[in-house]
Amino acid sequence: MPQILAMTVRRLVMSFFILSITALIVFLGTEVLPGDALTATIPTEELQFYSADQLAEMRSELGLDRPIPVRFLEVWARLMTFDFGTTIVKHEPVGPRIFHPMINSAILAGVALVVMLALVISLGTLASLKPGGRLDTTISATTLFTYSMPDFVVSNLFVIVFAVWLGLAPAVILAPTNAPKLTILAASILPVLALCVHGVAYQYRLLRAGMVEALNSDYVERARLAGLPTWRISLVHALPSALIPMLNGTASFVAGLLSGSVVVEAVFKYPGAGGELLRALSQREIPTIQAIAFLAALAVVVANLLADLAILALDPRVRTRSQNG
Amino acid sequence: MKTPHVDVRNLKLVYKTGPQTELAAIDEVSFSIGKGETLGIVGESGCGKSSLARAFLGYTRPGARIAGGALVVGGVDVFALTGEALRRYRGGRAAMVPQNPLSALTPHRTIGQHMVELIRIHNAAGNISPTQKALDLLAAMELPDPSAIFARYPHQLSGGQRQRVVIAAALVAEPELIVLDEPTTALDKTVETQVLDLVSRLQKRTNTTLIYVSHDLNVVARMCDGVLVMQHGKVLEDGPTKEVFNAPKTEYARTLIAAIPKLRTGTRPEPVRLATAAPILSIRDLDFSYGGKRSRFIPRFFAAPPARQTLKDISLSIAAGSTLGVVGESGSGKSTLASLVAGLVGGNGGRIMFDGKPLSGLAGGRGRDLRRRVQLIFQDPASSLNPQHTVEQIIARPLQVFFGMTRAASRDRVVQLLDELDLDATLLTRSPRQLSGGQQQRVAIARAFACEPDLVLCDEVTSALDVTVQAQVLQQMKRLQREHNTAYLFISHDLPVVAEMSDQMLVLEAGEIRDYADTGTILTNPNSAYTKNLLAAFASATAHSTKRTFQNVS
Repeated sequence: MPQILAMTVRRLVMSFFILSITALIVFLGTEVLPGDALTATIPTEELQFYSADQLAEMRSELGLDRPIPVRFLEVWARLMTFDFGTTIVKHEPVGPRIFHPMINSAILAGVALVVMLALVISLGTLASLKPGGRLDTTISATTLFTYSMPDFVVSNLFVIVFAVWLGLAPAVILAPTNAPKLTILAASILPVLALCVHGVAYQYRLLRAGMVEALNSDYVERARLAGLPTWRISLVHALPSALIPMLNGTASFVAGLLSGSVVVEAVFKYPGAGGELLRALSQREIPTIQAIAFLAALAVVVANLLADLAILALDPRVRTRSQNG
Repeated sequence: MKTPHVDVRNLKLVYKTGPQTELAAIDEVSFSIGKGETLGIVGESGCGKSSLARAFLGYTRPGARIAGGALVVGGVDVFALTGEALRRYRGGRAAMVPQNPLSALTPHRTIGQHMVELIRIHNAAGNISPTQKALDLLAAMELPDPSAIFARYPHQLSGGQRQRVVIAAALVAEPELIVLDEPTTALDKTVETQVLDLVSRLQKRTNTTLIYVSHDLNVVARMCDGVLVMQHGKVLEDGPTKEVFNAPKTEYARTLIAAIPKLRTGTRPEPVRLATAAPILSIRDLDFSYGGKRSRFIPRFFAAPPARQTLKDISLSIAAGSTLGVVGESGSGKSTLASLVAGLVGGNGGRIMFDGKPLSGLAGGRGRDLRRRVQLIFQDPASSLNPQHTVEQIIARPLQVFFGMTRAASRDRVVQLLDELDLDATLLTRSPRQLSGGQQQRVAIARAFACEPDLVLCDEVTSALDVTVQAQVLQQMKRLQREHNTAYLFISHDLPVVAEMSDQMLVLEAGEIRDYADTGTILTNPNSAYTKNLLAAFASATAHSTKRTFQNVS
């Protein structure tokens, strides 16, 4: 399929530009606004103990006295090669520091995504078997309710119900960031569910709308008139079409997961990148913030690319359209 | 008389129209068909013929139900079937050839997957593999290179190929009854003939009972032993084709038969309007090819495959308030011409002038007033009207957007527009899916005229309509044209219809102009061999149908 390859390459080139712009925004946000990385890093009360000469010396040591474009190119080159440098004051390498939190967060988001998709697709298909039936109505009403619940409410509710009342899980996760990943996986059950509540609701509504449209289509009527079983019509004929509008929503769900997980991780004390980001923000570790923001943008770009490829796989008409230009 | 193969007794089918109200779409209908016979069911859109077609398979659309009567096919009481038995009956003993083969085939499944699925479900392979059976069926439909067709997706086939595929799919389990719902609506004249001949030959071999549901009376006259004329859910006439066609008993059937578009080659009663008036639209040396555009920023590797020339050196002009008809078969570039004028695609070369000013680029860059003055009516109103909106919302939108009308003011105007098209104000709150095809298209016309346009591009606007509805809609369009002094670019494959509507005609073949002159001149004295052939095909199609009818007499 050369046209799919061409499209993928084209999208990768686009992604490169998007990530470059992300790097620029992150750079501008942390370095060009009033004060520089150095004054931002040193707390105000300590700043008064440094003389102007000392600060200037430190600036030149860190290369902060160089022109903005040069420094941006340096940051850009570092981010693009996944070399996240060292923190400004303590000179700790950023990469190894954020490695485990990032992996933990990836596990959380990945499991949440898989659980969410599995739930949405099975619920959506089941409900579509009898549109307007009891199951359909129940799921629709429930998702409308859970859709309107913010992540922090859901998380706290889960802590109260599952940890405090039922005692099924510890209220906070005590595993260290570099704990074995299976331990992390086991600890991620409640946070995953908390993240899914909102996502399932939104994705389910998209999928249901897609299923209703597909089930009203001429090809589903033809399939019914040709004597195909109902389950087969739902799964084989309607579902792939219905997934297409949902998948773009799934890509934005990934973006939502990243911001949602900051909240959820904080509530459950999950050892992920969210906590690390909050810590870096409070200590003004600019390279760490840059690294996490950049990796988050990368995750969103990859999720969108995957969603587009999935749409290509599901809809042959899009495949040939990209072939025609 | 022997026992009929299909026997319908007092069939009544109702649609739910409100919480307590129901409307009978089929009202106490009774008739029968002998084994191996062919019955044609004709009538206007909304007369219940498509509901009847589905009822043969024991199927009603959501919101409809069988309220009484019986339908027996080969001794089986169809309405008594439920669950698994009903599922096996559908596609097994009775099969449906759907109306629009493009939307009726699942877009993400290949032709092979469609066929093999049906063969497996109905255990129809016998002692060969399902794949082989599918290939055999495709070959029997005289499709070139069945294994290539097998691997393709529906959108990659031509209209004629898709039509053959859905017929092949209906034949999978060798059903004793096949219902064909508007089987040739989407086809060119020449392809239509091939498909119909093929179906006749297959029927002779298998002695299948056929039911043609069609608005095309020519097709019915040619293919059917008997004909059923329906109106408002009731059967008006039921008899041998030749009797009904030669001596219709009811006034309605007479109107229906009279409404068949015929080529009138004699002197035209209407003079050419405003031939000397300044042209509202003039096109010079227009060229267009799909896929030919290459971005300057994207390297060669990513660029599109070589261009296909769709239109070549097109020059024409339309006087204000007059009609230019464009005739051509599918692929002749006639729809592309409309898309270019409408600004749905950007041109590659040449010049389009509208009211003396250049009309270039895409519609989005033309400015509000130009977008208002050039309107487009599509072939398929079902997909060009937003299914989520009511009729009122659909027609009121241009009024609110272009004339800044309030809701109340726009409502009055909408009612007025509906009235101009003989539509009832009770339709205001309906959604497009609740309207008949003719009503939908009239709503689309009302929406176009709500903009008070100077030029309306009509792309096959009546091709999906029944003859009587078509005749009505064409009359209404003519009246609107006179009252609003609007010019039409009227595009159709149906030469008699175009000739009826147009002051001037343009014949397109493979993107090039074959003939361009006054309608009278084209009909009596065409320049090109292509136009002569086209005229001959339409003349013989009409003659052929009458001949066949007489053959049935003897």
